[in-house]
Amino acid sequence: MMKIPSKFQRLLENCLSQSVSVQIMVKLARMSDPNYDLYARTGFPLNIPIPTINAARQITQDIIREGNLIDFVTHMIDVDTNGLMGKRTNFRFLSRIIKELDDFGYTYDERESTFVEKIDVKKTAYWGVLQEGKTYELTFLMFDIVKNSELVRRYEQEVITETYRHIRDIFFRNVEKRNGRVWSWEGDGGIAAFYFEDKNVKAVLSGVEIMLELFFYNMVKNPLHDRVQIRIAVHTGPCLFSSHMEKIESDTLRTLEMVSDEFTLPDTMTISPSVYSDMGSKLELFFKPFPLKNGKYLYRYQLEWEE
Amino acid sequence: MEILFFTDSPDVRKMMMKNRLNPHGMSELRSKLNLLNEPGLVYVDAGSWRGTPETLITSVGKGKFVFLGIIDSGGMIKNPMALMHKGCVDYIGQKELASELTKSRCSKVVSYIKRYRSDFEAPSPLVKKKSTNGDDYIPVTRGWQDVILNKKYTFAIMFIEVDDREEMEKRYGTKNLRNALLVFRKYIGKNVAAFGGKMWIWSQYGGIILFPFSGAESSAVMCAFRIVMYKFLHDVEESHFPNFISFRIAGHIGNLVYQEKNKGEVVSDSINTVFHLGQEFAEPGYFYLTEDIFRYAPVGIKRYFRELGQYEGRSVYRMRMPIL
Repeated sequence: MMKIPSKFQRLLENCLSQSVSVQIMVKLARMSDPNYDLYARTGFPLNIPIPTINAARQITQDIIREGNLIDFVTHMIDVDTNGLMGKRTNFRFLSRIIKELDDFGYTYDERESTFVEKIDVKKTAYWGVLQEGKTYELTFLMFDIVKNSELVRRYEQEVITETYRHIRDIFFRNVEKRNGRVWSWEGDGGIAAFYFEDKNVKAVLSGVEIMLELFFYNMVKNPLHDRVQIRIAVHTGPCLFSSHMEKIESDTLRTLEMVSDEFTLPDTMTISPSVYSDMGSKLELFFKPFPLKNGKYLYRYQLEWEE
Repeated sequence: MEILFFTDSPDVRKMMMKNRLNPHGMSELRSKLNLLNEPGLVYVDAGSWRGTPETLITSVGKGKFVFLGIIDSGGMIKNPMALMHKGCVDYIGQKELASELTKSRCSKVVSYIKRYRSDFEAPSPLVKKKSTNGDDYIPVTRGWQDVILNKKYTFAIMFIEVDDREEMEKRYGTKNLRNALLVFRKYIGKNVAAFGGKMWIWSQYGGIILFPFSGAESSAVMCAFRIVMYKFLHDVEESHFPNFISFRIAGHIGNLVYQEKNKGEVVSDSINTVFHLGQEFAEPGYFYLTEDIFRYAPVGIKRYFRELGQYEGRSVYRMRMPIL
């Protein structure tokens, strides 16, 4: 969890107490935590109004302790911009709060209407935005090296370690360049997640570029006598987030694994129909549909050459 | 070291392809050997050769850079060691074909040549090399820092031009077109800079890029190859054109007096050649090379080109395009 200096806490308390009523503060807190009960937190009897300064202090402490600060400030910006229940609401010191968060490594992305990590300062697997136990629509890209065990057996450890390090770099570079995050890497493959706008397109473009880079790697740099072949699968759907990636259980990830294991040939990328539907007129030309036994289709990309 | 394989036998071809080797037909033997500008390990199928194995050695194995390996697909050679005594470096008999015709064996033979053959000489980048019209090349070893204004050097020269300009002017309008062409120029500039090239002439729709020539492999071919391969990603992610952009590339190598900005005063056969190839011969959307520069293409890239025939007295190669 982000460590927040007490100076910033006082700034936020002052912002709340000098800008909005207790009732609006509670509404804001409930946008991040729907069960938030200010009376229970402060211990004030229900028949006594809570003083503004006490409410601001309590809410500030609670949202910081519970890791909801980024979410809370995002709602403040939304209310400041669009009002609340038809009423204009302006927060004093809001620009200073945004500036302070920027210094902590979070920058406000107006297009996405959310804070995102400044990638040169910090980089977490959840963009500093996803919250434990909440469900998000995410796009996943699964990448794996074909016939890994054979390659490991056939070549000396030093050569294979160096080769796999290059391939890992190709995977990470192309995922992170499009604001994806690698959620797992197991030596011969891994899973990357994409969130925010155009997540399907970004995941697919990362996959295409990984395949292109690998093509050049095999042509120019690969120290093995065998070409390194990979498989890529992309699928999108809901996922209950946990910061302990190994604990995440999700039908979306299970489907992704099935698409990769059962339907993805070496040197190809397979995408599911829900991903394909977002490809647009240019990108959809990269893919050819292929039918499954149940009458549904998956879509395949592979690098092919004219004779 | 370049490794080449020649056979006309469908079975041997199939075996080679299965082992990810790239066989050529016997009719290509002479032209491919002429293109060698570094030592080459050349495997020839004696079963596809019209003469005796001895004549194979005298006509192929005596080439300046050639180390000959014999593939005995017909099982005709009784005394393989006699071939070794005459200079061959490898022999693969009929029974060993399936198991031994591999990249791994070739690597071992290359190591053997480098270590034990006194006639092996690694190519020197500064060795005098000539173009197809007989001009001596004037290479530089350290790239642009060795290039002095108003002096003559050898450059890899790349012509790039967007296709269908008149049609585009009609369809997109001046302002939209100008912006889209600027984005295209940025794409070319970014790629060219990464390979040590400079945009020497650039009008709205394209121009000429120069790469100083070191005497060894030219980075220009890899650069243009990448421009073609990454074009589709550029089209989707960066391009301002609503449709896929189409452009032609032509590459050549030759001498010219270097001037910082070409104001149309540079008279050079090489520039003429690349302009003619790009503007008159090239079809929309394709990438062409003259044989002069194809010789200096990275070995791994050569299989993605097909020889098309002659243009202005030179062989011309065209890149096999990736299929969408």
